[in-house]
Amino acid sequence: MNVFVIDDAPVNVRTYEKILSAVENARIQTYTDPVVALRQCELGDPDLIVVDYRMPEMNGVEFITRFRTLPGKKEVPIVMLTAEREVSIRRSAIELGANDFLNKPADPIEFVARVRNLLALRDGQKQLSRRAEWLADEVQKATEMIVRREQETIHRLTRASEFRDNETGMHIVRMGRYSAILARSLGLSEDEQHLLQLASPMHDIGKVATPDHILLKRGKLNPDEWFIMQQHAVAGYEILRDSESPLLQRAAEIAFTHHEKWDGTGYPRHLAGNDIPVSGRICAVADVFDALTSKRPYKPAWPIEQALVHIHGARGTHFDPKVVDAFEDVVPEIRDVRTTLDDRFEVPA
Amino acid sequence: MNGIDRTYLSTIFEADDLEEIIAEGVADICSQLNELQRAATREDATAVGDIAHRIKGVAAQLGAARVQAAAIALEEAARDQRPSFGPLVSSLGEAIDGLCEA
Repeated sequence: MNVFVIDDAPVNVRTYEKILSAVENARIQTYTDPVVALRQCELGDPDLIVVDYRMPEMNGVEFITRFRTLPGKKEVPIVMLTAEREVSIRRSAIELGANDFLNKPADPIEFVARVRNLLALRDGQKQLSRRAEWLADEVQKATEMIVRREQETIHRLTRASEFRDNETGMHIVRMGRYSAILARSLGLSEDEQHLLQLASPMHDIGKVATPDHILLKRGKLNPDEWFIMQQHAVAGYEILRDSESPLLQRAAEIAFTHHEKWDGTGYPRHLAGNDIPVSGRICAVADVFDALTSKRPYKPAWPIEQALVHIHGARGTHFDPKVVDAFEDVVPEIRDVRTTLDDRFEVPA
Repeated sequence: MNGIDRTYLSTIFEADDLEEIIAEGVADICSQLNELQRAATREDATAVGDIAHRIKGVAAQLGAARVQAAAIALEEAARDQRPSFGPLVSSLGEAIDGLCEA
């Protein structure tokens, strides 16, 4: 361990160096100039400081004050050597961070014992710090693993529900990307962008409750069938609601509101304007754009340009005008997602 | 050398190193004397106090009791800004001369 000894008198420094040579595992570095010593403290890794009180240019109290402001030096033990008996000097030194005092000339036995004790303290500090870092690292790794598993589980369950009416899982992947891009374009926080990317793929999870003869019907739905079809938004909400997970809370909100329309003509609750959560307003645009540009049993995939015209045309009726504006600001990115994550390219879960 | 009590340092250094460290300490104190006299001439109480303190510390380390006592008296006078510390400078000078000449 590194012991830095600072005293302006070379004979004193040499004496202390000799005394401290009895301390096992201590590398003694001596300085007669406190300014140089402080610079070396900044560059090096002292485990203990032994500093004289009265020195030219910078006294021991000033040295301690400046030393304590250096990065990572708040807990390094400091012993002040002083011939001063004044209580005020000792009080200042303690208040500024000295841990112990020795009277000059220092008694060798006492000096060695103090240094050993303070180095043991320092060793304990470092071990504790390493242990805390290790624990924090392990907690972070475990947390990341839990989050990854939660995301994977959600992704696979969402894919399972999508398999009933989509040939690939790419729709839900694109939904996530579109939603995150739109959230960023709207100026939402990075956390919210990430949450929307993960939550929006669950928007149609309630379709697991929709009977096959309605979900897979090729022709037009009659009013009763249409009512049942609309209930997938409620079912999705029921499946996802009341979770402690912020991700599932947001997913429940999206499932419930992504078919609402800005003008109040959507379903299931006929919400309008800002009564529709922004997550639902974002996913409405993302879902319609992706549906239009995807092939379905009852229709071919629309060209992207045609889908863009449709989205623009529904600005202020179906869609929140601000979300449409944000969408139009990022068309190149949206187009890139649609092209690179085409249904022809299945991605692993 | 006269005026030096080797008791303290001999608990730390072997005989050869002991004489070397004493010689080094004495040289240090002697080298301070000129500086001290210049500071006293220009009546710079702060400098006088600092140099007296430095001499006091080294003298204590060496076991040079007479020099240490004279340095303490001068340092206190200088710190208290007493009007005339000339006699105390002389007294310390004599003690140091004794050490340096020995």
